[in-house]
Amino acid sequence: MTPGRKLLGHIALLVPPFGWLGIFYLGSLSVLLLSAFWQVDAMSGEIVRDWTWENFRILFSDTTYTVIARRTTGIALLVTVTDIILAWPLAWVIARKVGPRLKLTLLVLVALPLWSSMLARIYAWRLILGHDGVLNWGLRLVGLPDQNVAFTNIALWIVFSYLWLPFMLMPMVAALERIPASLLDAAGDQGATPWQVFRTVVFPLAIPGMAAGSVFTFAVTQGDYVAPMLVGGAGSEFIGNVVYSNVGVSGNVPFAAAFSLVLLAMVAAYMLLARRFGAFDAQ
Amino acid sequence: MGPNVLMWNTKDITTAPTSWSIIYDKAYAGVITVPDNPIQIADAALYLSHTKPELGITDPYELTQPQMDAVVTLLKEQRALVKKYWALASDEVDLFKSGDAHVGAAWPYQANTLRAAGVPVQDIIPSEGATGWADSWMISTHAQHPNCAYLWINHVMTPKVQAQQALSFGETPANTKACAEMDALQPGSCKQYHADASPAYFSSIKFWKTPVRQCGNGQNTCLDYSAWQRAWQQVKQ
Repeated sequence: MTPGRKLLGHIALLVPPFGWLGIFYLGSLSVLLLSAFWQVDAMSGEIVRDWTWENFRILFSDTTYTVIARRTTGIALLVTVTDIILAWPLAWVIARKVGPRLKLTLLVLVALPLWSSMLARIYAWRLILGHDGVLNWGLRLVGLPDQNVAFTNIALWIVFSYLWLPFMLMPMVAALERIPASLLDAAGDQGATPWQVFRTVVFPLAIPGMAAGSVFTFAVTQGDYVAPMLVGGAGSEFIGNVVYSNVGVSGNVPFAAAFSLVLLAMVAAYMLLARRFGAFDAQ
Repeated sequence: MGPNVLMWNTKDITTAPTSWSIIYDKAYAGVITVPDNPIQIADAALYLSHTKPELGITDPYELTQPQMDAVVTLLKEQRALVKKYWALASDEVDLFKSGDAHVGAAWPYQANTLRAAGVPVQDIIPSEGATGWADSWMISTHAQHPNCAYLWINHVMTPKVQAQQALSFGETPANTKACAEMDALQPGSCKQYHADASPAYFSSIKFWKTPVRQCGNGQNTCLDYSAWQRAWQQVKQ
């Protein structure tokens, strides 16, 4: 084959994915970027294509949106920390304590919930946390007072932590697997206590795994609007919900685009931070 | 068409309420649910037009900035008491079924659905009156077969179809001749769904309309729907 034909072959292979990325992904992103600087005519509901900072001025001057952005980020951080804590013991067992057969079984069990619809799993939590749900039924059985967890930010925190736990667990298992056993042995031989081994050897080497997991737990929570809608209560609005209602109820796409851009910038900043901790260097 | 009614669980709230004041009452904190919709502002405005006449609210859909500020203040106080703002009728049905909500603003549809499911609820139009909705059929200007569309609309206007639709959704039919058909399908339903109601009943309902800048009194100081949307977002935070 001549070099020229080989080059043509490479190009032919690359055109479909890059064409897709360029047109559908970057294309829609740039439309989003543009429309954030437009406005909607109050009378006709038509989009007015005059350049303006008005959407951003409202976003940064009205405390409503600051409160919503802070809540979104705060819960995303809380979910990330919760999932890291929950994933540690199980990831350690799967990565280093069990044989290959049990390991496979455990990994399948972790991934199993992902085979069912996310909506079904969120609705299941409504049945668990509801006033006459499974949780209160159990509490009454043992003589404890009812809880009012349903439709609060606590419910949101629980459901998000549940939804994204597998995405934190998998990269952590991968990171813990890669730690050479010789390092742990060496630390032990030098007289380190188990806690010291964990603190100075295992934990630092697991940071890329936690960072990779947090990309899912943090970024995906920040962009979500379904869980706040279904299990949140009064005062559970996320940035995504404001975007959703501005597109749906209000027909104000430019304002929705402006808030989306703010969200995009926040997620991008987090990605850069995660990269510094090695989230994308693994494998 | 139908009103936005006050609905409550009769097992949890044994004295029947007569006023919208119950959904702004701290005694019911955590068991209240109201619709997640900017037009809900009109419900609060209607309530304030009775409790605070000095605000001068004559039409709950024509609010000036000072009137809107008073309404938003009331709704922000209410937020602390609200369990959940419902977006879908099925959401509210779930809230009452699970016992998370005891009282709230609803459509007759939810009350019917809940009663059919064995949940003890009651619904009324409180003493202040109620806001209401009237659904309509539309034909697209791009319709390829407008004549077929007109035939369809003629069909849905017939008493029998009106009666079936009214019973299915729990609404008042627009065609008053549907009354006899309703009673034939389900005895007593004509009266239950107000198909035989007097004009006084309908004038007690303030039907939804889009807020615009022009107030009814010739002034241009009223707030339009986009301002209502922003106000609602501030209420919900």
